[in-house]
Amino acid sequence: MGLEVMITLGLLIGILGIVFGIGLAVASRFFSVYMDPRIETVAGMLPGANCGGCGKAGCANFAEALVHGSAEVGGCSACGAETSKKIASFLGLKAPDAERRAAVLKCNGRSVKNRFEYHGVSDCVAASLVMGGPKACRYGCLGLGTCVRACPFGALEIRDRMPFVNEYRCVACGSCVSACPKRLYDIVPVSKTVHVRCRNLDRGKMVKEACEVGCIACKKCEKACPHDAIHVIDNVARIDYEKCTSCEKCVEGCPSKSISNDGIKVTVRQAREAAGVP
Amino acid sequence: MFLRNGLKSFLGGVHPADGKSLASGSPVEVLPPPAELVVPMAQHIGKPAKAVVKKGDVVKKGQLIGEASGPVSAAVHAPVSGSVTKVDRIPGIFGRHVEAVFLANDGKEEWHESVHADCPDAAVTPEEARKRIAGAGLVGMGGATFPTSVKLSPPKGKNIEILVINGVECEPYLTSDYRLMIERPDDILKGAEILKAAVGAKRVIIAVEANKPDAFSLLKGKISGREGLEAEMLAVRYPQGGERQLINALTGREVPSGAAGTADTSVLVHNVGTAVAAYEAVTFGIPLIGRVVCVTGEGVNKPSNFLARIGTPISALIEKAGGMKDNASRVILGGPMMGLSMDDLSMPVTKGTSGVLVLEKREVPASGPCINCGRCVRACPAGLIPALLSRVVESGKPELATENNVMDCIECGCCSYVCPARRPMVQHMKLGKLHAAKQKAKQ
Amino acid sequence: MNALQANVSPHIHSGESIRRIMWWVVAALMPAVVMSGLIFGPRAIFLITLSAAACVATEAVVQRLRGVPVTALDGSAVITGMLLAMCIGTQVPAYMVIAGDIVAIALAKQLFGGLGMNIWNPALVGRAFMQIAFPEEMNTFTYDLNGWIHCNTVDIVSSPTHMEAATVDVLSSATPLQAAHYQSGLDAHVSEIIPDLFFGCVSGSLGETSALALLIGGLILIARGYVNWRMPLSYLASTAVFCMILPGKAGAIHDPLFHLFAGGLMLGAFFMATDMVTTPITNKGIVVFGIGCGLITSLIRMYGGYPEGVCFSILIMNTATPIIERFTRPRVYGSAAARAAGAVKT
Repeated sequence: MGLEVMITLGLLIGILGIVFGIGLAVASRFFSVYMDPRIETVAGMLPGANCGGCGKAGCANFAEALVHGSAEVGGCSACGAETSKKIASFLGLKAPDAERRAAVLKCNGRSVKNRFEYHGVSDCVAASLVMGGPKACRYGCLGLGTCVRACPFGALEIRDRMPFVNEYRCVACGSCVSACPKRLYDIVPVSKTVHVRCRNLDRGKMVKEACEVGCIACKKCEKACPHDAIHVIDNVARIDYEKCTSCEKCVEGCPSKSISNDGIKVTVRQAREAAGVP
Repeated sequence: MFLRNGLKSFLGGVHPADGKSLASGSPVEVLPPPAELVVPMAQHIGKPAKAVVKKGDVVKKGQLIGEASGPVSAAVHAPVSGSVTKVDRIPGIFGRHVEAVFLANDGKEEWHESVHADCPDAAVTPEEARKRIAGAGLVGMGGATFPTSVKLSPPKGKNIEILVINGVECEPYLTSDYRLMIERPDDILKGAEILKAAVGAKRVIIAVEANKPDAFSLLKGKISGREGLEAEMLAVRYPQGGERQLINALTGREVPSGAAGTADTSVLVHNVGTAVAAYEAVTFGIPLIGRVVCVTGEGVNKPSNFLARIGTPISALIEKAGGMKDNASRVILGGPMMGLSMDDLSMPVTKGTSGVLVLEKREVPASGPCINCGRCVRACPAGLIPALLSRVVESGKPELATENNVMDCIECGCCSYVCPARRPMVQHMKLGKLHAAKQKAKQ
Repeated sequence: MNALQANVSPHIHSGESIRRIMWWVVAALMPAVVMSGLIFGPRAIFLITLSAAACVATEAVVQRLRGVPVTALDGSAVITGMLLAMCIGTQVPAYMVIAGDIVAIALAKQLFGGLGMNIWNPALVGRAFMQIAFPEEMNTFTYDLNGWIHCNTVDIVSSPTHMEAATVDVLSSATPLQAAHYQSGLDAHVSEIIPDLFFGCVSGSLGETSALALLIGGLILIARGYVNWRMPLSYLASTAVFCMILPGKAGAIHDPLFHLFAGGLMLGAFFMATDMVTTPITNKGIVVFGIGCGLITSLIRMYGGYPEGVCFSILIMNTATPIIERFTRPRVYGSAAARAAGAVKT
């Protein structure tokens, strides 16, 4: 190969480089979009699970909203207190002082019998297409794990036929709330430890037939509560968490054991101990 | 339009063993109303009716007990005379609870004063006919239960040229429309004339499938020489009784994807049962308080056709049909292809209950992986690729189903029927459609 | 009364199952298996059985390792094993066949997720592997002179140097396509050998020599609805046409009947290109696939380095299946009407 060829090649490549370089320079000048550099920083601080709990299309979208002032740091339930504080101080915003919250499953009917043999897709939404699902209780958990698959943080798992909330992992994003066809999840502050685990709106007799631990609307809890925090509305007891002090008086008063804390979730403390986190 | 064995039909579909001989020979038997009836307020597509009676009220047969509560809704009437024992919620077929009026039958069968069963009205103007049809709570009686009055008022600027009276009854087993055509052809034709006038159509086509030749020749004979009435024998193919497929088979036109009604094709389809109900409602003022229900299937001892009151428990029908056989374990409201499984036999007959199908127990083999055989693609009357839709929904990507036209699925069940891997395709379609509807609502 | 069963509609089923389809394909292969036994002797039957057994065993082992339900007897592994054995010669040692089976099932099928998930036809991947790994054994074909059937074609296509070996039992002989590819002068005899090609008494792979037997099996499958007739028709017709019109290398044979009956085309068109998993799902797509296979087969036969192109043509078109499916979708009911009415919001 002659020297001439090499020089020609070198020149050619050089010219190409210059042409493309100019092209890029022009493009970056005329097609550039200004992006607030803070957006990227904030997006980096967010959990990045894109759970959609904030109502935005994802973490980057929420970061943009934060920087533009159209959202509050508290809007992200997935951020822990520390992250929230960090973001708030970075953007010069007020840190949320909301308490940590977590999902609670309002059903404890793990031994509810089936009304019929269900054949089909193993998914709660799919099963609820067939007569509302096979469980004798038409309001209760179907146990097919749609919420578990919907949880972006791995905070749910099926244990003994029912989903189990790991409060340590739960960030209260609300994915399970919208995934559950029976609307059995509530987002509740973790300090509240007393919950009515039943959503059955039928009358007591029908509830008893369907489930051993269903709320029969006997109103004993109403009488037991010293804080006026629990009321039977539409045949099911409901707790006003604003007033509830978790004194567990109603738990003792409940004849059907539907107000119970057993075996449905790992509390933050338990989970921390299990994970070896102080 | 597509010719199959020289008869008009549509592309796609399946031809299951029809099982109609079980009940086709049994004449319609009038079932005496039971002592206690439960009349749901939601018997139609659209908003449920609003109950206008309360506990203790005394009602007469044909009296309004639930009024239409919106543009797409239908009135509900008392099927018997008697008293209201309670108004309560009952579990509905879709799992959601619906309001229902509980009636104690006094056995007197006293008509309400709005009904004039003895003196027919000879001529009724189209406007008055439409009003009476709406007042009588008519809904599509083929099973879709869309309020008839809504169908009779096409959107502005759309004219109805052809009225199709649907006697196809493509669902296997069911024979209620067939019996109606055999036993009351004159009433069907009178109803057809009323509907034709009400909507201003020029032609009426009565469509019957080739597996009911006697019904076809009977109707054909009755209309010979009458202007504007035609009868068409169609090839046997499921789901030809579906509005979209029927219009395509008869006229070659297609209902636009995503359209709410069929007005774009200038064709309107009404079931033969709806035609009879329209005749009774307009001429005698009789509201929709009863219907022909076919109780059939291998799991029932004496397959029969009944004229039952709305609100009669399904168990009463099954009992009257000789009861269930020992190996029967599936009760389905409607036909085997699109009917809904039920587990509570105390549920009442509603306006859309065309049949109660009792089938034998079956072992359902686990569904296998899709082998891409393409049977579902060839069977799909909507031109979709069910295998693809089923796969994307199964793998948790329902948004891809939306992109691939899952909303055009009519849930006819042909794909599941032919699938050698026994995949629950229709269930996947329903999930995909639910997701698409949810996303649409979010926007 | 029993406990009620409930599911989403429909509540009846056509009764068709994967198992039934697969075993019908096995049954439809039987005429070809019988013919190969008649032509090539008992070793042919031995190899086909061994290969099917090896595939079933591999499938069972891999499925156990993967921790998924073992479905090795659903018939699909048997088909893979039979097809693989049917496209190799009698003299291929048993261990090579087993190696091919393991590649076919473990690599080409189970690694992708098992039945329904594989991209390429497993049997053909196994064959392609053997072609590359054992070229010598895969490209020599022998002919059993003590077989039940003996025809003149062997003498015509065999090189003259071998002719003195008429006293030996087994004759190493070129297949008709090899003869057409590597020797000259075969074109003069084409019309003489076509009846033998159709009947199958020529040298070649175990199961692909007898066009007649394969045709019988293929027609059974078409009649049962297990094979979409568009596939064999488009593949066979396009191969015949392309072989006729492509100029090819010097001395290339253009006789369409020769190309239809020689080599593995019949086996490929009826049993391999019709593997549902690896071919398009739509009718239009199937025709495109068949024509593509025909074109590539013809190109390899007329211009390529190998005498036969069925295996690679199908593998190449398998790769193209997703894109073919993408562009051959059925027309959605009402979509045209919706565009006309302007009702579709994009």
